[in-house]
Amino acid sequence: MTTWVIAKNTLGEAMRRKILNVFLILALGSVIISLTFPFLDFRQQVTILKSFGLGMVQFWGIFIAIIMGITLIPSDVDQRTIYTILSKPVKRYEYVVGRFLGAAITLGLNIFLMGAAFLLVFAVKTNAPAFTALGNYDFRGFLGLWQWSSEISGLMGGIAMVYMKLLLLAAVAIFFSVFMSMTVNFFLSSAVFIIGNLSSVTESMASSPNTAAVLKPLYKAFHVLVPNFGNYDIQNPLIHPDVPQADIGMYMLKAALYGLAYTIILVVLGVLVFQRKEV
Amino acid sequence: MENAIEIRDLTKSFHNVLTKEDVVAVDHLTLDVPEGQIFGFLGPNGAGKTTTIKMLLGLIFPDSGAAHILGQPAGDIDVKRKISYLPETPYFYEHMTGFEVLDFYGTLFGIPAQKRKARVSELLEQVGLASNMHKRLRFYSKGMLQRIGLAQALVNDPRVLFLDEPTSGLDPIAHLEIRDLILRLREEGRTVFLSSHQLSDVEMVCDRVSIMNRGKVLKVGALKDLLAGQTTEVRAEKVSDAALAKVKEIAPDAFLVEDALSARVEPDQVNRLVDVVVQNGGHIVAVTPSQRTLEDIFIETIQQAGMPVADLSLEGSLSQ
Amino acid sequence: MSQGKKAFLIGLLVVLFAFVAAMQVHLDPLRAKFQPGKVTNIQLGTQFIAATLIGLKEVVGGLLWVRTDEFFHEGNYDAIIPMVRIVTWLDPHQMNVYETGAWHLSYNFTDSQERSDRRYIPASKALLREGIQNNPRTYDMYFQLGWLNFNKVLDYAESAKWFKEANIRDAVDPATGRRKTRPQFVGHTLAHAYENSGNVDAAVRQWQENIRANEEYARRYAREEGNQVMVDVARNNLALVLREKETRAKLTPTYNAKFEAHWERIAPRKFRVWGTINVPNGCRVRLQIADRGFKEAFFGSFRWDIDQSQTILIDDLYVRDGKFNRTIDIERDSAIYPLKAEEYVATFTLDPRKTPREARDVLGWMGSALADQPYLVKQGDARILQKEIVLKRSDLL
Repeated sequence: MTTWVIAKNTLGEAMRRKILNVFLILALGSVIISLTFPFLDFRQQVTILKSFGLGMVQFWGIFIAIIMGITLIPSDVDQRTIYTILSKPVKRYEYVVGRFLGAAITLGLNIFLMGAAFLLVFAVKTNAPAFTALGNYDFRGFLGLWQWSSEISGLMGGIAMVYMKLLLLAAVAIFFSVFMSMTVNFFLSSAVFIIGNLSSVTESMASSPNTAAVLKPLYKAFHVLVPNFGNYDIQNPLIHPDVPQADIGMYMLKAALYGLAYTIILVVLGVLVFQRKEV
Repeated sequence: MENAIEIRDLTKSFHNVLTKEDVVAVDHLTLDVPEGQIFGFLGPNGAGKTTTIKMLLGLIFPDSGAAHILGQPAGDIDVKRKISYLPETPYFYEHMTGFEVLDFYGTLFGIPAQKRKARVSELLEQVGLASNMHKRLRFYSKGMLQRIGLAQALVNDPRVLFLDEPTSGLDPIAHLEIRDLILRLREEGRTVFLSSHQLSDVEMVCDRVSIMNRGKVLKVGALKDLLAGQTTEVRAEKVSDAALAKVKEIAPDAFLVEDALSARVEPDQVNRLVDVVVQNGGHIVAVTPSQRTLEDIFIETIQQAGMPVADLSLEGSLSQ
Repeated sequence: MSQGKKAFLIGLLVVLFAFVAAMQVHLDPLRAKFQPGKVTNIQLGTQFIAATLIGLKEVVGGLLWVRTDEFFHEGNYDAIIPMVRIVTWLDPHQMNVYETGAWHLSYNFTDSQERSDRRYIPASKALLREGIQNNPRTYDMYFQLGWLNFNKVLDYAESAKWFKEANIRDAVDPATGRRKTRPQFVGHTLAHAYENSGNVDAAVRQWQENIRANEEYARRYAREEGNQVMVDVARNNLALVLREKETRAKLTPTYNAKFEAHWERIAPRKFRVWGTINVPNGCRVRLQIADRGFKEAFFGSFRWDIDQSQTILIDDLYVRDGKFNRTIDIERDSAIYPLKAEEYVATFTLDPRKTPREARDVLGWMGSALADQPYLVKQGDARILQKEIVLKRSDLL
């Protein structure tokens, strides 16, 4: 209950924070800008629209996730608002979990808004005939719009993967924020994000024949224990429907489970560290 | 009388990052605060007052020793339902309105919505912010924020309040208002633990005070005991040398400048001295109680204890 | 927090970490399936890897391809091939990049008389093979490799092999992502490839199959216009091939084309080729001048660093009124034709498989009517006319 109160308050606070709103507006703006993109041919136009849209949602989402993650708890400590909260009957884990849940909801809301704008732009841009048909009172033609639903559901899967990726990133940043200054945390979280995105590199380091045998288990351990953001880098088959997509739904489910488990790890670690933190 | 707060041998040290030394902020502190009183917790900046309060609230953890509030271990969740805390220069979520922030704190106590609404409105009325309740805290003045701070400290109808420098940075009128409010809290039967470095804050309201320096309590007692040794200055004109001789029998330090007398006596000797002056043709100009500052008392107390005064410059460098 | 709760949480952490590690090992092979395919010879800077970090790989690829189009219009051809490499690395599913890249490699590096630089053909083929590897499920890339062999290399057997692969695969509607039957022209070009390679029975079967497929196509996409026309086209073609099969079967090896070819040096790197051949107008005699022992390179993987020491020139000499004649001037093309070898072979070839329909009515599907001496050469079942002239380096310089 108290956790939920903190989470709700976090959402209210974050949605009114100027810097986060600026990123949201930039994201919406950059998605809408893609309405004006000129392209060589239709196939390419569709490819770029999808990739650009997903990319923009992720790009601005990274800023929102990191900035929110590194500031939520430290700003309470720096501004001493935490004194008035923890001196009330709020358990420390309730505070950390509440802050995290609030961040998760805020992130979800931001990604939802950006994703919805992207899907709308996509539907309009790829569906000029349907809208022309509507202009000509050809309602049967306009119904052709719904043919896009399978495509849209694929893109929704892509947006969900972006969310899981950024949720994990926010959890990394929140975990570090429990015991680290904002500046150090910003660079550390960014570094973890970059390394975690290079999953294929860490994987090939572990399996390369050039790697010394003694180091292999070390690399392998590193590869499986680092948060692998690269697991969510599967926009390519969603962008190209002609690429094999069999089992991609199952894969996304597994990747989401992976992210959820890792996120819980980070939150529990954060709780354990915060338990003895002197504020 | 029950003790609201019992502190036994509480000790806390911090690591100083600059000097790489451990600094003892609170040193085997033992203190009892009786219920229903206003207790003045005095000491210069850096004496360890805030550190002590933070340990009592469970914000930081003691190295050794223990503290109990209302019979339960300090920092316990159950204790926190019955106490409240106003930090020094508090900050609240600026994006919220006065009403929202009090409502938020109310929910942290699990107060049901209906009751919470009534309680918050009542508190806003009480601290004089009813007309500004839908304004964001970003637009509040420092005094208004301090009042919101007091209101949030009252939201759970606490039995014990910890007020850390509640008047710092306030203008004289706000100062008086806060003082009235604190007096009202005692009338309502609450215990107030009032930390301050200004004697003027405590001398009008406190029942008991302690003086702390360098993590140690040097003196505890009723305020009037602490202020014992106060003198009153009497000044008069048209005093003759003969009269001075008689005055000196009562006030040995008295002296004349031409015909103007300046004498210092214990408060109970004032009447006698005035009589002597008037009977000898003198003309009383002023009878003034001498204003001893807390610093005077500190220095006196500390000198009695034979220790140096807390180094004020240390305050910022403690790694807290 | 009690010790018990703490112990529970630490236990939970251990379990979750084990789960995460196991899941990662499980995901690694799966993930590879959903990430862009492997490409060779990347040689790219880290700034490109940075773009991939934020998930904009396909955008960067697409925008670079727009820029590449500008290079093409500016005539900056040399810049295009590296761009093709970059874009296909960023997004190996942009098939039009493979297609355009291969077309560019095959056709657009030309000498001053508009003959293309044949040394790029192996690279073009390798690029399309990589395109097939990365896009194996749709017809597109197979068709392109087939078309390169059909239209440029004139290797019809090889082209039929790739068209056959294309003809068993679907297309994907780029807008909806839904599968769509491949266009009808795929089956048609396959049938033409069979005809041109002399595999007449396969051609007949393919036309029959095309009629059936086109009818099916017209039914399925009834709302599209012009599909019925393709059924008629296939029917006409089948009738034509059946008629040709019948008439050409009657041909006997009695036709003397009186083939002769000559070579004459006019100036350094400038010479005249001419000759006589009694075949219908519109036939072409293929002239190849290459290093003696020349063999087309095979690129196992795509690269564009071609062997700059090779010389290979191919020209098609038009036959008009039984004669052909052309002046070849490569004076300004020493980059394409370095002439580094000591000896060269000029080969004049008339391959009946590469002649128009009317000519094949006279010569047969695979030259079965040809009886020329001394230049008749048998290539399996095919009978072609070929004359080789060995040249010294000094003959060309």
